[in-house]
Amino acid sequence: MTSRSVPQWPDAAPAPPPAGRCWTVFDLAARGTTARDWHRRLTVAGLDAELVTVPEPQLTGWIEALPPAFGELASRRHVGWRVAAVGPEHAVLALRACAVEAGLMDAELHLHADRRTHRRVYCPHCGATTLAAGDRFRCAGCARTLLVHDHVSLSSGRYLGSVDTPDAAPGAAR
Amino acid sequence: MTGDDRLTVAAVEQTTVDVRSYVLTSHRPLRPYEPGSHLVVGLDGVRTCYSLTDDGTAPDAYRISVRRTGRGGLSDALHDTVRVGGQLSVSGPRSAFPPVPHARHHLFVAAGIGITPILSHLGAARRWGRSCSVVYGYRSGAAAHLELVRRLAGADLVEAPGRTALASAVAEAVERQPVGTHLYACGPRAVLDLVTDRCAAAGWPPERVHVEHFTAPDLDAGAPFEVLVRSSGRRLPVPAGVSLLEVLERDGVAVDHLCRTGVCGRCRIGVLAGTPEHRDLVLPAALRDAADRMYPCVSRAGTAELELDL
Amino acid sequence: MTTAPRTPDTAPSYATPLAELAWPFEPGADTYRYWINVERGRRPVATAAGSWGRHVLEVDGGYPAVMAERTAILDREPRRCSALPHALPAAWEALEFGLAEIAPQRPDLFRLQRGDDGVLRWRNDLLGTRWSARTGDPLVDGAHPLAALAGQVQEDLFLLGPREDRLYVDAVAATFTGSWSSSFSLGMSFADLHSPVPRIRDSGMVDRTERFLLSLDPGDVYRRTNWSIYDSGRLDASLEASHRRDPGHAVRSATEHRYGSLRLRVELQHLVRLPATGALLFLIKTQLAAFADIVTVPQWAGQLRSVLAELPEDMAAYKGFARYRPGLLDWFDL
Repeated sequence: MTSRSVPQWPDAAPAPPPAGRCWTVFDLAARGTTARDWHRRLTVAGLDAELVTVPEPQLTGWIEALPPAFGELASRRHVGWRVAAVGPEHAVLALRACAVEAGLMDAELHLHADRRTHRRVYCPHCGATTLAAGDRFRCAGCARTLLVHDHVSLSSGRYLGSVDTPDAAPGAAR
Repeated sequence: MTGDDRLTVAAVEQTTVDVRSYVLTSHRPLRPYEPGSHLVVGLDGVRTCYSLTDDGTAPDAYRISVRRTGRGGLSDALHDTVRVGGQLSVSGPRSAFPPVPHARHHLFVAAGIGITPILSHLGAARRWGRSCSVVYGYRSGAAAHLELVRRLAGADLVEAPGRTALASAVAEAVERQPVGTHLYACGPRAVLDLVTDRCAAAGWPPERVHVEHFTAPDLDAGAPFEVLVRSSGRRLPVPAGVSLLEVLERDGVAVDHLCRTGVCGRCRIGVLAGTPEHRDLVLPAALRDAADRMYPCVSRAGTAELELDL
Repeated sequence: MTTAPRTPDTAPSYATPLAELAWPFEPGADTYRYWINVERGRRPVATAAGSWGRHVLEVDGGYPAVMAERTAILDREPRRCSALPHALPAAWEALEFGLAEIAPQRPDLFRLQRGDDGVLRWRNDLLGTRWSARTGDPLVDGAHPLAALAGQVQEDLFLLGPREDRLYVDAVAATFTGSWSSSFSLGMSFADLHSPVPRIRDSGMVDRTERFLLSLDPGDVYRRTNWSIYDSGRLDASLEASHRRDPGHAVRSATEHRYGSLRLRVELQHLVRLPATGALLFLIKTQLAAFADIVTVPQWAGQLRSVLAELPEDMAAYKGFARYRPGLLDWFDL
C-alpha cells in the first residue's frame, strides 16, 4: 500500500495556469517537449517567462548546487513570480524544497514528475541524504544498508529509509 | 479568559480628535495574545470587536483604540460613558488576523483607525526581528498612533496622507515585494478592495493577502433555506432576513458566538452536506469554497438544504 | 550485502512506577479502537494502582533516570532537536510555559525567576543546570530554546504551526518516540506525518484531528493516551535508534515464552495552544511497564488480556504483538 505522503503524478503533465506576473520554467532533463510547451504557452498568454534547461548528465550536480543557487535567483525576483518544473521526481522534489525554503508556496509552483528513476533518501541513523536507485541501498553517510519507506517529506524532498529490522514498523505517530 | 471578564479602565487617552485609547487592567495576570488579536467589548447588551494594539507577548494591560463614529453605537457609547476607574465587560483576546511566521517579509497596510492591529503586528515584527515595512494612509491631523508607528517602523514606513496618496503607495509597494512576502491590510472596505485588486493585478496569489475588516458590510436578507441538525434529526426552515444562528438558538441548539457580524469566527460550525454560501469575513481567500464549515451568524446556503454537524 | 557492525544495545532498562502509569484503557472497556480520545488536561485520574494527569508536564519518580538517558542521546545525536528558523518565538513560549509548569513541582530542585531586568533565570540542582537568558535569545545555554526545555523535562516536544489552515511540524526535540523518525518529520504537514498509520489515514480521522487542533482556543490544554507493546525497557524506540536494537530480541522473547518481560508502552500526549504565537505544543511522555508487573494489578491483567485478544489483526501488527499473540494470551491464562 502506498502512503499518501508519496506524490501521485498524473500520466500527462497538466499545463501551468496563466497566473502570476513572470515565470521561470525548469526543464530538468524532462521527457519530450513538455517544458518547452509550457514556456511557449505562458509566453503566448502574455507572461514574462524564462526557460532553464538542465541536461540529464548534469542533473545530479545541479541538484547538489541548487540550494544556494535557487536562493540567489529568488532574491532577484518579486511576489508575482511563479516557478514550473518538469523532470524526474527526485529533481522536481529537490527543486520544490528549495522553492519553499525561498518563500514560495504551492499556489506559486507548478510541478510535474514524468518518471521516478531515483529517490533522495534520508537516513535517520546518521542524518545523511543518499541518492538511491533501488529499494535497498548503501547509505552515503554510515554505509549501512537501508530500505526505502513509502514515506516522503515534501518540505525536504526526501524519502525516509532505515535499516530493515523485523520489529521496526515503518510508521509515524500512532 | 474564556467567558466574559471585567477589566478596569486604568487610563484613557485622547489619541486624536476622534480616537481614544483605553488601557484595561486586571488584578489577575492577563493572558498573552497573538499579534492582530481583538477584544470583544460588551456594553448594554451590544458587543463589538476592537483590535489590541500591543504585540501581545507579555501584556501588562490590554490596550484598544476606539474611534468615535458620530453614528451612535458602541464606539460612541464608550467615548460618552467610560471613564478612568470604571469597568468594562470583555471577552477574548481572540485571534483572527495572525501573522504568518514563516513569511520572508511582512508588508503592513493600514488606513485610518485600521492602524490598530497593524501596530500590534509591527511591534511583534520588531520584537522578533522579522523583516517588515508599513504603508500608513491617514487624513492629515487625524493619524492615530503616528509617532509610535514612526518610532517602530523607522525607515520602513511610507506615510500616505489622503486616499490618493494611499492608492499610489499601495500600487507601488505590491509591485516590488521580495519573494515570500505576506501582506496584511486593515481599513475601510474600499481600501481593502483596492489592496486585493492591486495584489491580484501584480500576480499575488490570494493566500498571501490577509485583510481585516473593521466594519462588517451590510448584508442582504438572502433566500430562505432549510437545515437538518444531525444530532436531533430536526429540520429547521431559515427564512429570508433571519440568520441561521438565530434559528438555531430559537430551537434550543447552543452555538457559541460573539460578534454576530461574521467578523470574529467564534460561531464556526461543521457542514456535512450541502454547500454553504459564505458571507463572513473570517475564511481566508483560499478557503472561500470550503463546504465543510460555516459561520451561521451571517452565512447562508447555496443549496436548498444544509446538514449541520451539531 | 555488507552491513556495518551493529552497535551494542547498551540502553538502560526503564520502568515507570505503576502508581504513576497513565493506564490507557477506559474503565470497564474490553476493547480498544483508535478514536479521538481527547479530554481537557490538568485533571487527575485515579487508576487501579495510583493516579496520573495532574500536570501537563510532570516530574515523576523516573525523572533522574529519564534525564540521564535523554542527555546521553542528545550528546550523541544532536539532530534529535531541530527547528525551522521561524519557530523561535513559539519555542520561547514553549520554554517559558514548560519551566513554569515544572518549577513548582520540585521547589527543592528547581528555581525559575524573572528579574526586573527582564532576564529569565533557571536553576536545576538535580541536573546541575544554571542559565540566564532574555526572551527571544536564539540560544539558551548553548541550545535552541526547545532543546533547552527538552534538557529539563521528561517529555518529547513538538511544535506544530498553522499555515493556510493546515498544521506543519516547525520544531522537534524528541528522544523517546515510538518506531518513527522525529528528525525526518521536521517541516512535514500533519497529514503527511500520519500517512503511514494503518486505519487512521483513510478514515478521515487525521483531518478531523487537525480540524480539532486548529480550533483550539488560546491557552487550551487537551490530552490523550496511546499505547503499544514493546519488547524491552528501552525508552528510545525511535527509527533513529533502530540499528542499535537487537533484531532477534522480540522474536526470542516470544519464542522463549518470556512474555512477562514484554512492556506496555504508554504515550501520555498533551496538546497546548500557546496563546502568544498560536502554535501547538505537542508533548509525549513515554511510560513503560513490564507485563509481569502489570498482572500484579488484577483489574489491569483482566482488561489488558481482553483488549489484546479482541484487537483486529492489522492493529495488532501495528501495536507490535501480532506474531506472538496466541502465546501471549496463553501466558495471561497461566
